[in-house]
Amino acid sequence: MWFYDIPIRPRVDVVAYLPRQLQSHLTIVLGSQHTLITAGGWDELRAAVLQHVTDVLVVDPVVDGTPRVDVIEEIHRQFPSLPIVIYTTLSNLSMRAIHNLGRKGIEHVVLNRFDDERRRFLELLERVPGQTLSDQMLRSLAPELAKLPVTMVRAVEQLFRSPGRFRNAQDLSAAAGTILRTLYRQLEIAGIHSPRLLVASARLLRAYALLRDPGRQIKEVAAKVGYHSQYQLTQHMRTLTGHTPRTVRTHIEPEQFVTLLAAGVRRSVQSRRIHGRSRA
Amino acid sequence: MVAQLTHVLLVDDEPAICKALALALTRAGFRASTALSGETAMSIVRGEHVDVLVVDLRIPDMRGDTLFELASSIQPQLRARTLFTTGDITERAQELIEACRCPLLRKPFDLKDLIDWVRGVQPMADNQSA
Repeated sequence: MWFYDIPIRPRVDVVAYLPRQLQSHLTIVLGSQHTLITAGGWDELRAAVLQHVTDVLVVDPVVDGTPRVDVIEEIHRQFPSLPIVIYTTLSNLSMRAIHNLGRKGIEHVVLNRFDDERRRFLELLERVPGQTLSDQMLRSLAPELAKLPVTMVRAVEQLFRSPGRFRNAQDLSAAAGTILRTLYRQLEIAGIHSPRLLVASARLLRAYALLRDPGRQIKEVAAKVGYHSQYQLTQHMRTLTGHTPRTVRTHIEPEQFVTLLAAGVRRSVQSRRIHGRSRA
Repeated sequence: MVAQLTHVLLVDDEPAICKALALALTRAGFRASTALSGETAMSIVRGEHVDVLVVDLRIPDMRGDTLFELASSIQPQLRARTLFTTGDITERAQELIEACRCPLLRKPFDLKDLIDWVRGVQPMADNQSA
């Protein structure tokens, strides 16, 4: 199976329900590179999340003056992989909402005219999808990453945190500030098969996060993470984890998936080493 | 001579809460530092003067009352200028607060309550600095 380069648009699909002023700012933050679907009410927001495979939900819990923590909690329950960013103006009402949502695990908060500077906000929106899984994956690959130069480690971290920004191995080498040949060699020394496989694994990790949401079709997930077809996603998933998307969705827990994926990234090296010994 | 702003150290393991409280205090004219753990808070207390301490009773690496004791042993003025916050008040928590003789704000609280309390202890801080 070849892990050829798949052209992924580095795009974040955002659904938002915000007051006019915050919505305008979010539009500027996202620019033309990303997609913004705006809701005009809580019911519209529910519908938008159901209808679209979204990367991030940006919402002000006190958008209409009444805190609606309940709706946000409900969406969080139904779509646990969907990152929710609270974007609000600081007030007593919003403070209470931030507190209550924090208790439910919704912790990404951006405050109007405090930390909503364009670049910083955009970096958050690009980073949050699949953040927990990517952190697990990086921990799992820690022994290999420890053998890499710092610039490459930073590039790999960036890859897993924002997989949509990396279309291929060349993008990874550019992020690491090195040429592709050096990247291949350094990764091989560290025990990682190839940058291509690494890029593919980051994409599969994102696909897995989306697959965990009940109600999302595999075909939609495949398209979302940049595959031309469900078949292609299935092939890559099988090669790296030994399972189909359907199986990983229903039978593989996140920790197990990360372990399988990390092993898949290393596996080829192991088999080659065995092969090498037998030849020797 | 430039008047120094009252320095408030906020200790809470929830980054969003820390950030929001810091913003509220900064806008009210204070200098706010934040710490997500007791260890970080202690490194700030060791390194610079703190006028007011606002501590969540439950922080991951240290109990709020332990942090209070450690911090006020280094900066004794904090003994009278510490405020505890908590989301759920147990009997044990109540005992700890009473033992420390510090006021408590139950979460979620009004930002005004926090700011008013800090303003209330500010004259003491000013007097001490003078």
